[in-house]
Amino acid sequence: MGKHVLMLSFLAIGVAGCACRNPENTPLLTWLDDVVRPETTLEKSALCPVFVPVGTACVVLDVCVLHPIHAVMLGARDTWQIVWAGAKGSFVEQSLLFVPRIVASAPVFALCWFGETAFDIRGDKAESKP
Amino acid sequence: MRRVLLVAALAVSCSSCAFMNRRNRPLMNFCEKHLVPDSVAAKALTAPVVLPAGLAAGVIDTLVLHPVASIDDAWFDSSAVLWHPTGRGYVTECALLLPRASLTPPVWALHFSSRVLFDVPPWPPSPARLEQQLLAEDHDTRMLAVTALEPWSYKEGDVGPATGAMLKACRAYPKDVAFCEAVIGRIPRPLTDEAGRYLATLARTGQGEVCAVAIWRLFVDCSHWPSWAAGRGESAEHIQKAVDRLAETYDSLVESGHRAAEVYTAELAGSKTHLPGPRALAFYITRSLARRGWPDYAEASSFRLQMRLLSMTEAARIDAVKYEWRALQLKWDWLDAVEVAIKRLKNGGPSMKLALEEKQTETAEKLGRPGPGRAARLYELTEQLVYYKTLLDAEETAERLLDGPEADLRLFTGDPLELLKRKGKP
Repeated sequence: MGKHVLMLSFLAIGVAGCACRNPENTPLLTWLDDVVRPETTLEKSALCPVFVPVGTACVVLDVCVLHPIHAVMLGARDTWQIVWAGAKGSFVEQSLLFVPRIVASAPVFALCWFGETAFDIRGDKAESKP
Repeated sequence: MRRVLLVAALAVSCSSCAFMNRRNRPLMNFCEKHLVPDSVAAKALTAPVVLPAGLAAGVIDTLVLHPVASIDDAWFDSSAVLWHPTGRGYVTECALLLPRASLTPPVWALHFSSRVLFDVPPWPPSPARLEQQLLAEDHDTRMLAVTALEPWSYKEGDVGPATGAMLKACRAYPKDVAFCEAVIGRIPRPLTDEAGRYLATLARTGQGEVCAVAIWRLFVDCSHWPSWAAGRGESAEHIQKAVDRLAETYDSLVESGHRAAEVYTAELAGSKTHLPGPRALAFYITRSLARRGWPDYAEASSFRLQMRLLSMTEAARIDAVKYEWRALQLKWDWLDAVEVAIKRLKNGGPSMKLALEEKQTETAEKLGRPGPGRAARLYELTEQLVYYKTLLDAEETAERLLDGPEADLRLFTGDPLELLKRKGKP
């Protein structure tokens, strides 16, 4: 049991690490990085006992709470684009597709939410901009 | 347990085992050098002592010396994987402190065991240590030190001092050709000014393996995509500087008549014309060849350069017209045009020379002032100019053939491939 928990937690850290790489996905940590800027080695050493636990808590909050909540919106947007947006065809065709679309929405949303939560999907898009 | 051992043994035997590289057997190397006599008889006599001693040295190397020597390299590996700064900020670094610290022992153990078992290249020594190793009096020691270096393994602040150490070693042992070749092939990127000057001097000698390696090393700094080079802290200006340096070296080789080295440089440039640096160099070399009337000894490489440039960039068309590239004359269009002109002139038709010259001049004038943003027009005019130039050249050739000996005409109006073959151009 203990081994399984350890493996799962490592997996979770690894997977969450992908999203963590993008500063946009860790808003609390990014904000603190902007605010706390010690210059000298003495300042850095003195602040270390405070910011090691604070930083760790921020990462946990970002990864487990803030980013998953933000990912709900992103997942919903992705689901709308994949399932609902860009509908083509006549009124009858759209009516026929209405029920399958409703059925597909939940699993597609779950997949999109997981993808946005675990992986740095938007980061890749941002980097591809000229 | 047995399965694990089997898999480990298989892995060791299938890949490069650390023991197989001489670099990882210092004590055994020492025994080989100092205990093994030269003559066969002495070898046979001392074998009962030397063989067990060599075996013991091998065991000590494998179990003690090589693992001890791998400790710091494994730490550098772990440091590169885990402790590389994220560049985000102080709090992020603090937050990563605990995960990094907890992951360091297993990551280090993994790297350490892989370095002990397999022949993983070591991290480069500090420039000061490198200098000490490369200046060793013993040839084998120097060679071991230089062959252990992975090319381009020195970065940022270490590039200058490491380059200095390598140049010092080359100057100290100029007659050790194998050593100098190995060192020159590993001089860090980007080349420092001093290294560039030194390599250019070696290249200008125009002879020997060291010259060839020096030309190749100069070429390496030209032949990368600017974006890739930028990722390594090298600017586009650096590539331009490297191209200019090699172009100057090429001119010097031409002046001094070192044809083999000259052709080698042209071949290098022609081999990578898809990259901006070598392409610029290929244009430079082709212009030089054109100005010198396409020397025979460089015919193959000059033809290759022209064809590659023509297929790679439209800019080559401008040069092709301006410098009358020979590749144009070998195009089928030109051969067809000559045949048409011969038939017309034979049947008493008028010469098109004057009319074509007028059109050529007119198009060249238009090409000189296309106006900003007229890319399509510029391309169209270049195509036209190449067309008129080809026709004009064909017209002149037809007149020459009709005025000249009958045999030449027969040769020309025969199979074009046969013509090229008879001219010695298979």
